[in-house]
Amino acid sequence: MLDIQKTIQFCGDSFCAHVEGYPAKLANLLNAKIVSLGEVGSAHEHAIQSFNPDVDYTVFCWTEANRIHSNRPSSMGQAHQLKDRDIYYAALSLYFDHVHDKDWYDRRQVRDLYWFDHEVLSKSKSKIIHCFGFKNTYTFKNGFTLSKPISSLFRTGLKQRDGYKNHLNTRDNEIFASMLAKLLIK
Amino acid sequence: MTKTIQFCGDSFCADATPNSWTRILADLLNASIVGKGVKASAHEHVFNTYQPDVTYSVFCWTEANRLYIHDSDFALNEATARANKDGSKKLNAAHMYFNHLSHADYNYKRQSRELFWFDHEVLAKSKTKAIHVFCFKNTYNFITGYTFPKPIAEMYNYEHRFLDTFQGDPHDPKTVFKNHLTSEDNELFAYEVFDKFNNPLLFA
Repeated sequence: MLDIQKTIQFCGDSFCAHVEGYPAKLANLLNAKIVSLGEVGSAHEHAIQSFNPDVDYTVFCWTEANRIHSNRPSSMGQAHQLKDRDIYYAALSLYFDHVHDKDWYDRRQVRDLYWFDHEVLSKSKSKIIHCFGFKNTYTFKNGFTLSKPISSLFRTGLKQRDGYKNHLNTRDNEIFASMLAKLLIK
Repeated sequence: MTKTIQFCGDSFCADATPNSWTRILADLLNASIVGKGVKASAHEHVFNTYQPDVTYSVFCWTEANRLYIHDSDFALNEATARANKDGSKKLNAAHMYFNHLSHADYNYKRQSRELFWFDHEVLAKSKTKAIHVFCFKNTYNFITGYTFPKPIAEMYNYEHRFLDTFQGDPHDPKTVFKNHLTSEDNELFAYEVFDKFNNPLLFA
């Protein structure tokens, strides 16, 4: 009988964009092949669109609600930092300064995740863990939702060069991989 | 007990003066109007103003490409933002948003998801009798209430859509416009909605 290798996908932003760190360790613990990773600076729409329902294990890292869906990084911080670089970031910066409403974006994220949970995830057999990066905005019916965001569970850092991968140091990457493995094997 | 009716949406249900479809319908149902649409609003406005305890609700769902402005009743579309871009920083930012950040297909997709949420999480828990009509393009089919299969813009002559209060000859029903419809079409639509509310197969 053929032993088909299991697969795992990471859907989200920079909290799951680098294979080094907990994604590789988790894949190793599950004996699964990584088929996709998150995208640095992406909005939650990227996680929705990149989800493959046929993959055995899925880790979602749901990002903050205040990002505009685009094929380029689109957080508020990036918009202000890069506003002089080109017209895209200039427009993004102006939007965040004069039009944007954080509460509205939080509400819209909840509605998107509600739809995704009921219409998409409910039809998939993937074993799923949901992690929020900064703030839990929704509790999923399909899959297990970590009760606290990653930024509350660990001391997160931004600098990859300081040894951080996916905003976690080496030790926390290991702890996080073990935690996720236990939940996915349950 | 007094029956009530609310109209949730944009300019297609903002006028409830005599001979408008909203007023005709309210009279046919013997219901008092407790809410009406707001011109140029986004569908978010409906979520914020909907009252679950009202007897009848008619939703006029507007186009998906309107930018909700949280501290204002009106929303902005691409044309309004472009025409007024020099008016304020907000309008200029909205103009830049439409030019460089907004995607029409994605906006329609998000509208249908938001209506799914509203349908399952809000309307499903309400006893209101709900009728849904899209103004320009159907993006979702509701499980709660009845959804007209075609948008109003396809059901009626929409030639004079911007002349919603134009009155050529006040005695000629073809030149008086309310909610973007002629007087004749206002009456036809009121009876059309009334028939749906009274259809025992749709509403027990």
